[in-house]
Amino acid sequence: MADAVFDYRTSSISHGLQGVEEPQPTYKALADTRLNRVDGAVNLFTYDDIVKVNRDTSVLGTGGSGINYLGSERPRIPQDIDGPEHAKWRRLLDPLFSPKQVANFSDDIVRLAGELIDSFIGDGRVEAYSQFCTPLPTAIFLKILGVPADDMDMFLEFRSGTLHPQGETPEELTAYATEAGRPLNAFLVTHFAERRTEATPRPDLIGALMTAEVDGRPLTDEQLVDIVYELLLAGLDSITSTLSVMISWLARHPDTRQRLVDDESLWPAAVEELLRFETPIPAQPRFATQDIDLGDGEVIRKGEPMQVLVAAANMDGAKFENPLTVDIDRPRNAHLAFSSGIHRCLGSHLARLQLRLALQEFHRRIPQYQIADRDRPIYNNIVIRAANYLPLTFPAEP
Amino acid sequence: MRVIVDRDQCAGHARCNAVAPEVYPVDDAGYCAITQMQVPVERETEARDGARACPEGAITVED
Repeated sequence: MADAVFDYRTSSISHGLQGVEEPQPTYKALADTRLNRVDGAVNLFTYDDIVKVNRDTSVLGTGGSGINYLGSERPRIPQDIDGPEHAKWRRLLDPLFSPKQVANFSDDIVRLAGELIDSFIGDGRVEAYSQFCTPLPTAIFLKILGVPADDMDMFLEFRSGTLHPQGETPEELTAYATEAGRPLNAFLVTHFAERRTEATPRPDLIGALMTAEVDGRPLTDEQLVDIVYELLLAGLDSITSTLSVMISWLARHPDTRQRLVDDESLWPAAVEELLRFETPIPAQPRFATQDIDLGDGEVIRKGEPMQVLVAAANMDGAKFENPLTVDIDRPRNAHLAFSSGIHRCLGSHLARLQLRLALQEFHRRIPQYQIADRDRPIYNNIVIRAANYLPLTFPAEP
Repeated sequence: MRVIVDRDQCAGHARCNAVAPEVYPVDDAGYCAITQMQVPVERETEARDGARACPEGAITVED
């Protein structure tokens, strides 16, 4: 446990970047300084230091903060857990989100993307964040879980209240988020009870979780809630945000966009490069339970909170040539947008699949588009980077 | 040429597999399924690219 409370949501680094369209030069400048100590934490900016800290088995993740970030009643599974307990949960969850498993949803992603595009393609104008980036991953995730799509509004409200709580202090943020989470908790407990009355488990993610065993026992309602809470939070906002910043970048760079329109085989590399450049989840908190020697005289003391700025690591000139340039032909791109070590994003394969298929489908239907005249996107760079308002215009389909 | 995979460091990014699926198969959980492989000449370039794609640095190339 840290000596003092460090809440990375209040980090002055991200607050200083709020609203900025291109935070990358700032992150690069930080990477050039290696690390600093502000806001009561050691902020790490370089690739090698962050990979080293992330793989150190004495380092705790968000569970070391002592903060109930998102209003959940207990530690979220698996993010707020570390050590052998954490490994146990990842062994259960990783196969459910493997590359092979998530590929089963390819057709659904393409179909849902097409339906959403159908709804606005005749308008010649779209606010992409609310009309495409939000509903697509939300619908996909509810489908994967097996939760009714009719409840989408409730999930969206829950998401916004927990991931973007209002308040000035950690206590206020947590109280706001806890209150926002109550309806979801109640919904899930009722949902699990209904499922238990069914003769056979449904072939979806909740069905798989309800038939799984850990330590030789089925999961309790509390454990199911903790996992679903985690997955809903991770699956609803992160892909929405990533899609929004990628589309914003592509709107402003028609040359690269045209290359992708002309050659769809470039999409996987383009998605990786835009993940590196935009790093939609720019930082994670970490907690040292022992001294860590980073080398060259830099030591992190036992009890020090840390913030690993993967957005800066992705601008590290020691790892990426010309890091400020988006180069979809970049030959070496082992970026840290999904972090590294034991907390490597569980949803990374699902994220990559959705991003590639959603962007590909969008560009098949709307290859030419731009930011609307006399209007500008609005960006958020705190905790999660997004273009929360993304007005685009394009030739209307006749 | 031989590639050696440190499975304790493997965090399941599956970047090696994305770049070079014939050299680096992944298991049902998405983690690298091999600990080492003698790489045929025609796959040496992709084996190197796959090793470099790993954010954990878990893959060593032995010439």
